[in-house]
Amino acid sequence: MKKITGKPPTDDQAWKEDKQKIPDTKLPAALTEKMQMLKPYLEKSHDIISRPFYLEGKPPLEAVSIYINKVIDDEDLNQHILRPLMLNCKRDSIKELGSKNLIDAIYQTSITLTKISKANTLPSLVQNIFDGMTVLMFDGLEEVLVIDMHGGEFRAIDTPPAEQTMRGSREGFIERLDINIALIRRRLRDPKLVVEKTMVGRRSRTQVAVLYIEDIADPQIVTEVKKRINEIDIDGISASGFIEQFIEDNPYSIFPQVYATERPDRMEPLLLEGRIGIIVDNTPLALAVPALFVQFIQASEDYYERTLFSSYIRLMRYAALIIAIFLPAMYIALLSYQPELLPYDLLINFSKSRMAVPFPVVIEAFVMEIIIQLVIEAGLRLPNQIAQTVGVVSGIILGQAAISAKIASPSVILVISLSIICTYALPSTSMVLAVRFLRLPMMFLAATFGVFGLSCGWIIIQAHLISLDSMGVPYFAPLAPIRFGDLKDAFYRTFFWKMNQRPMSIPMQDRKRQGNTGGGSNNSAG
Amino acid sequence: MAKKWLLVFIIVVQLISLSGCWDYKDIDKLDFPAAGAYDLHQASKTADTNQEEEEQTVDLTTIIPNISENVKEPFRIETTSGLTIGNAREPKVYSDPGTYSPGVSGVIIFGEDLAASTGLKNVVESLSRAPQTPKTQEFTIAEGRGESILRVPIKDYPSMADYIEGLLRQSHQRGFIPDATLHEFKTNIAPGKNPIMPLLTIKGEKVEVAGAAIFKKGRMIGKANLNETPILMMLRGIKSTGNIPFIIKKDGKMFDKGSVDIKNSRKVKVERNGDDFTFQITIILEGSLAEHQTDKLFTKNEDLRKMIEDQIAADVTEDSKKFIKKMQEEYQVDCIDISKYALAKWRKELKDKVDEDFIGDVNIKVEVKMKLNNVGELT
Repeated sequence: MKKITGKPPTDDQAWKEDKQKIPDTKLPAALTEKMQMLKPYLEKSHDIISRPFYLEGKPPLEAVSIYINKVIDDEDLNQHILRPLMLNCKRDSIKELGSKNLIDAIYQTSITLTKISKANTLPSLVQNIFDGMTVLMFDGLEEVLVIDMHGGEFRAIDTPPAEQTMRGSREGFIERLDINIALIRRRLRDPKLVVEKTMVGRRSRTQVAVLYIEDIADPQIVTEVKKRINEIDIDGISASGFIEQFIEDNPYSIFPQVYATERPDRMEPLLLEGRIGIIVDNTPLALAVPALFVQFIQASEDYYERTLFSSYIRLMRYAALIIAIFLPAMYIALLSYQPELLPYDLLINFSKSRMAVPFPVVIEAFVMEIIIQLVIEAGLRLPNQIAQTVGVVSGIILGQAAISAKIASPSVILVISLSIICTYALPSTSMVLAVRFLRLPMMFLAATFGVFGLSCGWIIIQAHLISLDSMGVPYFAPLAPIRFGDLKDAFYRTFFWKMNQRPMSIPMQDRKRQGNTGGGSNNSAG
Repeated sequence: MAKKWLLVFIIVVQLISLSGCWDYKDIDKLDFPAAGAYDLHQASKTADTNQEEEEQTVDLTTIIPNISENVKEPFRIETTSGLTIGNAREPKVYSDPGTYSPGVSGVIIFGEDLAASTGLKNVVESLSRAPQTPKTQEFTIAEGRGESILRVPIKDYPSMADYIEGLLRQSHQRGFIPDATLHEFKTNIAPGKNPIMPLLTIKGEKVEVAGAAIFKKGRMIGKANLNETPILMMLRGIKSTGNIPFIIKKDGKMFDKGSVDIKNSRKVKVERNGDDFTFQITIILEGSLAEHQTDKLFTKNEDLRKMIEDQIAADVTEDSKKFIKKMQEEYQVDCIDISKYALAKWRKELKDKVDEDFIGDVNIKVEVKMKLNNVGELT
């Protein structure tokens, strides 16, 4: 008997793939035949517009422009293609202009757009249409013109909502790949900045750009990144998060191993430090690899404010990280297993505050943690105005009601609230999610083994962090392996004029960052 | 993969063997003593019972705050008895539904009878064996029973525990009174060392510091009063601060008097000539003038600063010599913690006799160096 497996038969898979393929045939010269060939592919797509027109001349040449509605800029189409071709086309003067053939003459003399290519096969024609290109087909010509005039409606460049700064740029990435690349280019005018585009998604054909500085980034890592992206075999991706999950080294880890930012001014220094940027079309978040753990605690603002304040804030963030993960767990461990470790007066206060609560500390803390997590989740999905109301209701009314109803003690509300505040003090959204998740197992360990369990949890987290890699680079560097030079920008940020070398934790070709030897009047090239 | 899961299994088994949810106890179900007092049981003190030392029982008195808001009294005082410290805690299970958690008590008071008769070694052994007990627990001795101290009514503090804790901290920092913790007591019963502890007494309806209790290892053998205790602290080298008065006489008449706020430190040198040991203790005092009751200006009396320094140095030297004499002749125990210097150099020879009559036979010289840093005038 044939064994039945969950997988579809191989033949069936191949049949499906074959069906999707377009016959690789040359385009005919007659316009009607070309339209006939295209018909099966376009007839069910009502958003694809075919606009017939005649080129000026004797006799007038019949032509058709095909494009996806609202993907291109209508104004550009009228101004730079239709108007010149219909009114000013100089197709009679091919020889005078030295053009090889008619189609060259048309785009060289009459079309004022720049990104133009030619196609002469059916697959390339169909694919270009669905890639959002404008296609011009002419009667009697086998070749067609493919014009990139992406435009239409898109979100304007705006302040990045999740990474706002007081002193930094107000520009954030948007959903348009080319604009996002331009935002980087405007900041990094180095001719060595390489932008390589590729496509991901068999059906979505999403454009992905890989950016790196040629003489800084490590070629092996660049190759590895490109290899991992090119190996992605998926029908479609809708955000950079897809790419992140395909290329990360350890998908089972809760820690983010790819750095995501919505700020071009954050991406720029990352590229300068030898990292590789990945920008995905239709996503306002760019990715950077290799990523280090310390990177997720650093914010753009750290580099815009003065050194001492930035270092102070960064230390606060590390404290916030510890509090966010361990405070509720520590509360459970101390109140349920090792109360002797608390100062006496605090112990009595905690004891008094818990007197009326009928649940054990563990249940009380878990219930409050879950309620607060649900409130956050509710707030994220709601419109801003309602989310604010939910926040106020949960923060003040729910907390107060829980205390009045003697379901929770004031101390547990304080502890959980403090841990939530500390969670959101972290600058990286990915790290925020990791911390939110990590809190629960820590609480479980504390509830089961007390402070001892908490210590074990701490050791497990550290061991896990040390074992992680990002594109083959140790994730917990510069702490493990220790790179003393890089500690200048880990727990604190030293003066810029002391950061002469690029981070050792990231493999790269050019280590020297600058030649300054001192701040202020002492500054001179060394 | 199998190895990985085996490792996880081993770790979990080890974890469970060390701690687990069976140790769980909710904080509001515990009784936290604010202070405890250990005394010799009343019956054990009477000669009629004719009890052997090892049969003597111990009284444990505790102040436990009442957590519930419905209870009027802020705390309750309970006394239980047992053959040993741990055994004295046992009767609490019959009289109190809360789980007794001895580790949180900040102050432990030992009755004079207990300290002088059976000594505190066994008590300290019991306390230090429990991992919950913080080694920073403050120890003090009560003149009379410790229980009496805890039962003195108090109005201005939440309980006697808070009062004593503050009193001991303040008197140590600003009054040349020793402090003793569980950790210090344990280290001070090592060879060549002996503990001292603050001494509390009841005066009228108030608990006050009365000086220091002097121990020979775990057993209390004497008391230093409030005049002797600062000298004991200076000789022992326990750094503290306090106020010392002075009177300067010239031609038999009072020239100036006042007081100086000082802090102390000490240096010790030891020399050996055969079996003769000579210790040179240098007490270094530094401070500032708190007051002087004449209108003499330092700007016009250039010698005044030196006169004050010399007077204080002479006073402290004289008192130190008296105390050393008393120590060598009466206590016959090294309560100024100098034997360790000799032990460090000649351990093999001294380790067996350093705790016997060693301190009575040595020559101890004292030099006091006083420096008045500030006098409150621009000189």
